[in-house]
Amino acid sequence: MNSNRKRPSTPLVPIDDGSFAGGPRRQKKAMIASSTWELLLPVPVSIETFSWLDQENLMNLSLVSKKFNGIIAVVIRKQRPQRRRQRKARIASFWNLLLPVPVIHETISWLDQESLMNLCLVSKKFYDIIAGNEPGNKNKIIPVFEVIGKTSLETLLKNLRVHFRNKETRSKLQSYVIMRFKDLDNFEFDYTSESIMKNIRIAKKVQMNGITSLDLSSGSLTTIEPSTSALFSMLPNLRQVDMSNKYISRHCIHTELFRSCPSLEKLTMHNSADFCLSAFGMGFTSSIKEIYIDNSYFDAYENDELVHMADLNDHQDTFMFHYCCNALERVSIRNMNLDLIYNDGEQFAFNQNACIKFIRNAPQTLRWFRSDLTQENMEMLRKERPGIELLN
Amino acid sequence: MDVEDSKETAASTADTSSSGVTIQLISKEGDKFPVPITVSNMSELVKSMMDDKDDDDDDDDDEDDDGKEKITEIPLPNVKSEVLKKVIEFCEHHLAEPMTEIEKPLKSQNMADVVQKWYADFVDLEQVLLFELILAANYMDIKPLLDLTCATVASMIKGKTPDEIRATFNITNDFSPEEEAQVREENKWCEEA
Repeated sequence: MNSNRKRPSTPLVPIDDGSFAGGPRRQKKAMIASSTWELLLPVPVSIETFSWLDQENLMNLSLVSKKFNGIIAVVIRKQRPQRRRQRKARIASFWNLLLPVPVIHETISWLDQESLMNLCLVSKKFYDIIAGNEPGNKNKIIPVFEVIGKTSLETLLKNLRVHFRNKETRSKLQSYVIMRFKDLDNFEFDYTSESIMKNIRIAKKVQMNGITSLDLSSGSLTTIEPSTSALFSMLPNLRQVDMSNKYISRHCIHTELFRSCPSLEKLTMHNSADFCLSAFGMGFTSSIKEIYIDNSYFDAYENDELVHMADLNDHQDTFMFHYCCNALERVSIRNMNLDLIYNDGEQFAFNQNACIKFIRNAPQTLRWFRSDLTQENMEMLRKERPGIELLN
Repeated sequence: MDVEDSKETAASTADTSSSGVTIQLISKEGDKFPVPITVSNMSELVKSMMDDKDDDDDDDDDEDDDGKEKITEIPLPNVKSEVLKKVIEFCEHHLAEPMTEIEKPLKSQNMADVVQKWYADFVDLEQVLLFELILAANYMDIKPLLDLTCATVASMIKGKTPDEIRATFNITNDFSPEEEAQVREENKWCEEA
């Protein structure tokens, strides 16, 4: 074969009279080529042959003749699903082969718990990466123990007791970290003291030591009854609890919560009612670090206590959260309301003075406080306590 | 914009750069992309390669024997031209308008809700190119680009069921129904009463 011979660089283009552009020699060659294809080779063979060509060559060939154009249209139609399959396979290959595990770790670091759980169920590779002990993955799934359905605390405790009789199930139950009540609004509580004592006795036998977070929040304002204390006594290692949208029927609930769970560090109770502003009942713990109770109604253990809490000149030991403030780091009490004050002006004055007194007496550990303090009062307090971030 | 256009853009940026030092990034295909050093230094890989080259220079002279300014060439054999063009586009824009930090976990499936519009539009790409961009960002060690691209893939996962995730990324389910149930139970115990 003569290596000096050059192939035409432009495609053969038929012109109006049926001949080909590009000079007599090229025309002759094209006629031979075209007639050979058109007369001798069956269409399926042409389709098979053309299917090996790339897009550019197919485009050029489609200009050779009408018959070629028709054949190539078939080839392109056939190639479409194949190309789609190739693209999909390439995408899958990124996950399976090409993306290094640290990059997958980086990607999953952006996911919330629910998405992480769904991704974990996609394939064994994802499961191994997310649930395995590979170093580098900081976004782990936190196992959830969820209580669903219209039930009662007594039924729940009895069911748990049955689970605890099986050694394997008991061990498995210790691996759950979050306890969440999905239908707490429909939860039934037995108010008799006999029932409460009985539930507490069962709860002592079904200690769920792995649970560090309890979610008792609900969509609408409901009441937390004293019988809930049996629930607290089965969670000795609780670190955080969310009781948003809850009306506390009696202050003893906080007492039971903090007595049963001495390691509690974080309390969230947005949109709640009857929270004792002095934190009476929370004195059993010295570990509470964070309190978030925005848009809530507060009460006092004694009426005089409220007056003392806003008194900037006297009663220095009486201020907000004074029963549990040893280790406080972050407090949020935005839009604080008091059950006993109905006049807006009095409410405003109380809020300002109570917050000022709290900041002045807060422990050195406090570094973040969100409230309704005015800009002027915040400026004043920033000078007195520069280590505390004040915002509203 | 093709490779040539990109080269022109990059070159014009290089001319107006205050430092005046231009680096030639060379793609897998051998295409050369001149960029200002401020742009190329966003890549920790390029930066460290530049440092190594400086250390190797005995006389610390930026001019060759003919007195012409030397242009340092950095080969990036793992990065295709098409991808490198996008990388440079990102770095140039990042210098003009730095990307805001994307909050973890993602608050939305829509990238425009978590980052400036330009960056959200930038990663509105075909999946293959997006993954190639992730690999390039990882290889060239450009943290903001890696953050943006990984967060984009995470946004494609967020809120989807396992079946929908498989369909999105063409991943085969290799769990048996029993294994799947076991994994579900490991993650979440549903106590029904």
